[in-house]
Amino acid sequence: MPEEIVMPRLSDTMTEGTITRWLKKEGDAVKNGEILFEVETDKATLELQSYHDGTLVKILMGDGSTAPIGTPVGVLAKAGEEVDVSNYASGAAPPPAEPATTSAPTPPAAPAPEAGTPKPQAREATAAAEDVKASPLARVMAEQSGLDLRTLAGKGSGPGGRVVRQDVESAAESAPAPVARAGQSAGPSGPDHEDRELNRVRQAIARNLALSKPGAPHIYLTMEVEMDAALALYKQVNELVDDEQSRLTVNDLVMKATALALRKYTDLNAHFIDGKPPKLRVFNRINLTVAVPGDQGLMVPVVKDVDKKSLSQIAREAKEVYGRIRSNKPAPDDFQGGTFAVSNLGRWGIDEFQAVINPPQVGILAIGAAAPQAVVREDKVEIRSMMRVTLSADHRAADGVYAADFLVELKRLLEHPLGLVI
Amino acid sequence: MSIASQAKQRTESLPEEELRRLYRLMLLIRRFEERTEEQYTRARIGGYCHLNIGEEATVVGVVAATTPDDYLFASYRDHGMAIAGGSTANGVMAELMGKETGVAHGRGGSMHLLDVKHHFLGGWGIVGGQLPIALGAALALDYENRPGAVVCVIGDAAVNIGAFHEALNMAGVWQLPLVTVITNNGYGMGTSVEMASAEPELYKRASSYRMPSERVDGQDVLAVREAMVRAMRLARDERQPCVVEAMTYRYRGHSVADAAHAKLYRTQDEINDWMQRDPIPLFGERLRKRGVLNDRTVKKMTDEIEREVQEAIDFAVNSPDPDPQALYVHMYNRAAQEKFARMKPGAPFNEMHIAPGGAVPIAAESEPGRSEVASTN
Amino acid sequence: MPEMLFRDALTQALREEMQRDERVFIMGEEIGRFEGSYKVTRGLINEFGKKRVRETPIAEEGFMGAGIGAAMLGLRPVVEIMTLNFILVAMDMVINHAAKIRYMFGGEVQVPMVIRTPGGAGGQLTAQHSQSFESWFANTPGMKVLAPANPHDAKGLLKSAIRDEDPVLFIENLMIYTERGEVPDGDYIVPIGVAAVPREGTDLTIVSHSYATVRALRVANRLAQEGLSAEVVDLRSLRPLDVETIVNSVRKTHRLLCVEEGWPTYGVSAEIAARVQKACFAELDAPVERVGGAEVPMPYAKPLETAAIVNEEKIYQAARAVLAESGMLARGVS
Repeated sequence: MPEEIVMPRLSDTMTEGTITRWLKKEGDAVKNGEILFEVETDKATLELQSYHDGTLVKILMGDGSTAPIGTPVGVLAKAGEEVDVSNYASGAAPPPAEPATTSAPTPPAAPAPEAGTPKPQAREATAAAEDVKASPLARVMAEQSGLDLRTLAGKGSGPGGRVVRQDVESAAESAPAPVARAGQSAGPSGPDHEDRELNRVRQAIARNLALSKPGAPHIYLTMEVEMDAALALYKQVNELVDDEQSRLTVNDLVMKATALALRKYTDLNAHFIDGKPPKLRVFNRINLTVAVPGDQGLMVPVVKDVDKKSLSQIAREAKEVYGRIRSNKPAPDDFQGGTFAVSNLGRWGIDEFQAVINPPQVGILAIGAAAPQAVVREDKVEIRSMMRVTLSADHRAADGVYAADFLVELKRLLEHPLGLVI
Repeated sequence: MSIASQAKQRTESLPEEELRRLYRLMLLIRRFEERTEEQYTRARIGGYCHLNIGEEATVVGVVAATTPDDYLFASYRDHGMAIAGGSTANGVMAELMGKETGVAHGRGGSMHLLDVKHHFLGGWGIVGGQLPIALGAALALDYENRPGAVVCVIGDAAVNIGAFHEALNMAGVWQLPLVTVITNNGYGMGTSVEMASAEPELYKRASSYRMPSERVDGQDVLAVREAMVRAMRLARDERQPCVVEAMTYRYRGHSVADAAHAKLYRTQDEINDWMQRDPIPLFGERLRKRGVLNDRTVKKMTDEIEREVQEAIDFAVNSPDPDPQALYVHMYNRAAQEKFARMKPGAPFNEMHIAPGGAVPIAAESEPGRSEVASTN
Repeated sequence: MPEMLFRDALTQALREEMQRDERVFIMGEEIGRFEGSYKVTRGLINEFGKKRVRETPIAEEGFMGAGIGAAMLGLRPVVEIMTLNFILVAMDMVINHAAKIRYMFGGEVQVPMVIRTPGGAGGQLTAQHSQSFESWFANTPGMKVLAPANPHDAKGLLKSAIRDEDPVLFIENLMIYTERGEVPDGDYIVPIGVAAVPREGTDLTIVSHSYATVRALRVANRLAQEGLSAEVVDLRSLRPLDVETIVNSVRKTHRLLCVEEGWPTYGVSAEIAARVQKACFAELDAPVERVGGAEVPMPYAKPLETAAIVNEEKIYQAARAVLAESGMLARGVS
């Protein structure tokens, strides 16, 4: 078979070449090793030899032609071969280039994404929101806007129906109001919190205290509160209230007072965020974590926006939350968003105790029993209902004086309880 | 006469058949390498491609002194070695073209040829890298008290890399059956031996390790063979490692992609001078004088070889490419599939990915030739 | 069950494997009369002789290659590199040769070789002698990388490595050699590619390997005294990596801290963090945290060295940071 001479690939980077000069004419005898032509490449002018003995019967591309590599440029007939040169037109359009085995093999087909994201572990049916597949960001956004993630479960835009940010955003836009519990006022607009860097002094205190006491360095302050006025108010309100659900407990009064005090002493309504530098995340909402005994142990659900709610609202919600906890059916966000905690062991007759802060919160109020005691008022001995409250505060967030001022305010609110009703 | 005993025979008493065989082998390698260069210019072979054109006497002479008990290691200039060692032109050409039917199933390419059955253990891309490994092979032979020795072919530039020193020193300390063959073709890529070596008479390096060594005319296939017979006997029988330096020349550049065909660092005069000593006509002349060869025999050989090489090209061109779905096959041994099973969850690149039709094993379908490579007889 | 030192468990494994399989031999510097720099090969030369306990000159590239060549011919070399730091002069042999030979020759040959070497720092050994870059090898396809953290696993994993038919880098540690633990008599193996959970917990997953696991377990004890429950996952195998066990743990605890002796940037922990974020994306309650060796050449002065090593205090603080970051919900408020 005649040998087709093609534009040769003479270097890795060569894609085309220019024949500068044929050293053989049509009809010339050619021997293996003799130079056929000179070709200019991207790097240099090189020569192409013949690899066969024979006759150069046809030149298809002459001096000065430029062609991509693989283009036929001549025909060599080997010894004894007859070639019909009319089959080869000069400058004919090149047949398809030789398969370039040097091109990279097609990479393996992109692996199919794993069928669905891995299934989350089966959890108890109660913790339903945690079962919803959602991106961490979507979760946070849902919590902030009060959206119940379960309403989007499995219908998100992410793989396998995962709920992602845009789902929460569109849900928030289209929803008339966030899923509300009876009587709950709408959450505040605007940012949920403000991060404050600790000033140098506080940073130093934080650093030193962290070394001496691992975790939140607690300070404990106890205040005695005269509860007579509050108890009287509580009785009066309960006489006026018809339904069981709206009946007040003393704890509801304490919660409202705590929330109002926290409005003034915002540093206690915060989370301590460790880091370099550490930060105090002060929240705009006041959501109280309340300790409730459950079947399995102490539970800590959250009552939201306590400062904005009326006493009866607080009473109702608190009962609802406790009810859900006790029957083991908490709502998705019953445990989320707490900014300060209140723990009341008064019912069990405890006079006073010191609670442990739930990190990353920075304060918790421990309420003792209100009991009649002999006290000195204006140089006389009187009987008053005294209740001891103990504040545990994270010393990195608040100093003793600040904590004390908070308690003073709390005491004032409880001892002048009409302020709680307004 | 068995191949083994033939390989050990003194050159003077080689039968005519063997002399013709050596000549034919040189012709075959020459034509194979020429057509390889041509196929490279046709873009069917890619990457690095280093040719033995001009060095046929060294290549054939070295292998002629080996027996089936011996092992052979080479550099990346290994096509001639592979063919001389017994690999088929088909398998080598298919590997050069990256096909599944190639000697390394398309995974290795020009620089990584091998033939376990014939004890040719590569084909190595890192300069001098094959020496410590060849040392290890010699260590294994010694460990198992096996007959045979290891031949490790390196280039002249490899004598200056650390691995050369470490391997030869240990071969000397442990008295292992290793023969190091330095193919001195005057240049390491574009750098001449004089520019690179403080001691350019490279065989003398062996004296640092108290090894016998000699320099031989690499264009004379019988001289190379004779030197190797001596060296192999020392290595096999006395566990004395040796060095043989063969003075030869490559008519082409360092590699096919060496654009200027080596004219940047060599003169045409020098190339022409060496072409006067083309080992094939040199040997052919001697054999004709002795009546071992005539024109008719040579023509017959040439025609056969032309067909053989063309067949190899056709075979390779028509062979299938390796399947990209099998990209991970040959990564680890077969049992490793199970060991990697727990790595899969969340594996970003799905390295054990399932191919259509079923799981792709990550090991070779056949067990590697351990039984061939390390036969205990 | 007998208790023994980590290094003696290794000696036992070597001895038993050399008795079991004639093809197994060891090679390295000072492993004979000197009994090995860390005494791991003590007594072996007397029992097995000079051919099977082959002492080498100081020529890591050379004898690493010799191991490769011997393995290609069917032997089972166990090459000792005195410390991980010295593997650098043999990198070409390990990465360009051992790891690639099977694949580049189309599966026609294999390299069933073990490279044993201690990484780690301490003892003021300074910059060039205190490194832990096993992640570079775990990054290399074709390698297997193992790292036991106790004597039981040391023996079982070394046996697995020797019986494996691929090149295995077996990471020991300068500080771990004198750790004590129970080691069963006789033959047993620890499977490659399976992590262990030496301590179960619910609040935080700590993933570590080698000596970092020893430290992590101590930290977990300390956390427990504060009512915090950490689960420790001991990798044992870096490549293959037991992602399944890690993922199962993180799905339980929702928080992850990775600990390593080496440099965390581009380190083992980077790999784990990447895989966990993909597999447990929706289940993470806090970002993944990593803690490792300080990214400086190990300094000489004792206080600087202490500051540079990933000590227990650092691990402890990192664990608390992860817990704090996720605003861990307390079960009890009293």
